[in-house]
Amino acid sequence: MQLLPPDWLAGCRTGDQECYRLVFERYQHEAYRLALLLTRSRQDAEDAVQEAFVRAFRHLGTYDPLRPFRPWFMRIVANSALNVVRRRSPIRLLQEWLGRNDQANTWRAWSELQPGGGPEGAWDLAAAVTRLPEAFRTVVVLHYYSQFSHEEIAGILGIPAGTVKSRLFRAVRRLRTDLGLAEELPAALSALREEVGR
Amino acid sequence: MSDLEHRIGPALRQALGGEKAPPGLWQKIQAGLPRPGRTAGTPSVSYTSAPTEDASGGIGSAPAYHWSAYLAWYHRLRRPSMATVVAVALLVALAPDVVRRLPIAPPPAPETVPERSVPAVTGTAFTPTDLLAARAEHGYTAPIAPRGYRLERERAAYPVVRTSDGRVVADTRQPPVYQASFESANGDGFEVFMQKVDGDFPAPANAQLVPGTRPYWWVVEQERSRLYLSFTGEGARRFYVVVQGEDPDWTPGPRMLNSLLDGLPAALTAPQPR
Repeated sequence: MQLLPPDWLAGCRTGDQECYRLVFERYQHEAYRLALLLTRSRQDAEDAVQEAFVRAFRHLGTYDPLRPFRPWFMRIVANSALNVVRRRSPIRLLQEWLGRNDQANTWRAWSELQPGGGPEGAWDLAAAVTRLPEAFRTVVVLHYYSQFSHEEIAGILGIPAGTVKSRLFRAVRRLRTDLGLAEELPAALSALREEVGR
Repeated sequence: MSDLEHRIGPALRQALGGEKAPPGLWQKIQAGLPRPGRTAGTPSVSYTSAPTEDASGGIGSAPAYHWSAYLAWYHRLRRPSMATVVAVALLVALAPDVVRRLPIAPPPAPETVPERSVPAVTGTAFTPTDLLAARAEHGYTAPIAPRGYRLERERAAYPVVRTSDGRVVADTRQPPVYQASFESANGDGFEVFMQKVDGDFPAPANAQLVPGTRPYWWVVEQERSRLYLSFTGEGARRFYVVVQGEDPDWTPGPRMLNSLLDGLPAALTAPQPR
């Protein structure tokens, strides 16, 4: 459990710029990566991270210093990123859909620069995640990348935990289809198949 | 959890391994941070306290909010459900007194000048007031010019109104307008952005939205080597002005906002709503 050092927290609460900077340096890259996965745009991710840090520092009064800082802060990052996505103008969404928006193409250009394949098709899998519809991609990123629980994701997105589970299930099924993987048989069926096979 | 699900997290981490937050981000974040001496998490002005009311209806009585204030307040809610829409509409329509006493009462609508005393607002002319006095009263802080640029002129002024007897006076009941101009020493241009931290503020009529940027970044009246900034703090709680030098090596487009290096932010605190 990673707590925020008490002197950093105390410094931030009194407006100490050096303490702000220490917190920023510790979490900036992780926050940026999460925002990038959720927004798929470098500029939007940067906006989201900027907004998240400002919001976090301004609302430190609501943070419980006895609990780990990372989940509290990453929840703010996720909410900021989702807000940025929601604020996208209709014209921007249309451009993205038509593939004529430079910011939307950022992700595509980035993906083309990555070394292809990777061990065990890791890159194919990551690319497939980025192709998921927003509702599915969001829960997949929050659960498998940021390791939030179903209940925490439900709190972030404002949807029931059951909906989170259902979206995760459908997202994984889509990933299988996208990657050309066969549906895995439930464990009971697998055992039965093995017995019959013997 | 299936094998595929086990691989998703590591795959994303591997794909993002080389991604780092862009340089210059810290400078941008600094512009929005609470300053020393002001406790983080405690806004300087709060809209959350309900207005007090007394029986006489005199000073301190609850203001009669204009319906547009409720609309603006409601608009800030995120993705309200239809049930919330109906509930809020019914509450506002049937029990405005109850809504007024709620701790989440919206900011009051801009005050209108009483017609008897001040029938017309000219809208274009301003009477300069003592800037130092305005700063003391309203908490304005002067912007700091970036390297190579000079703060040419700065003033705070109240809108001018014409009284019923024909006199032209500064209406001190309205929020003052802050104006500043900068001049470049080397002939280069520059940009000014206004960043909202919280609350809403109306963009000046002559402001232009910078394409591809967030809705609350505005650039106001810029020329090649001179810039004029003019805005009111009306409706805003706290915001910042960032003046940034224009580097000819910048890549045009949204990335320009990413290289906030020379701009030094100045905190501007808007007057409290009355």
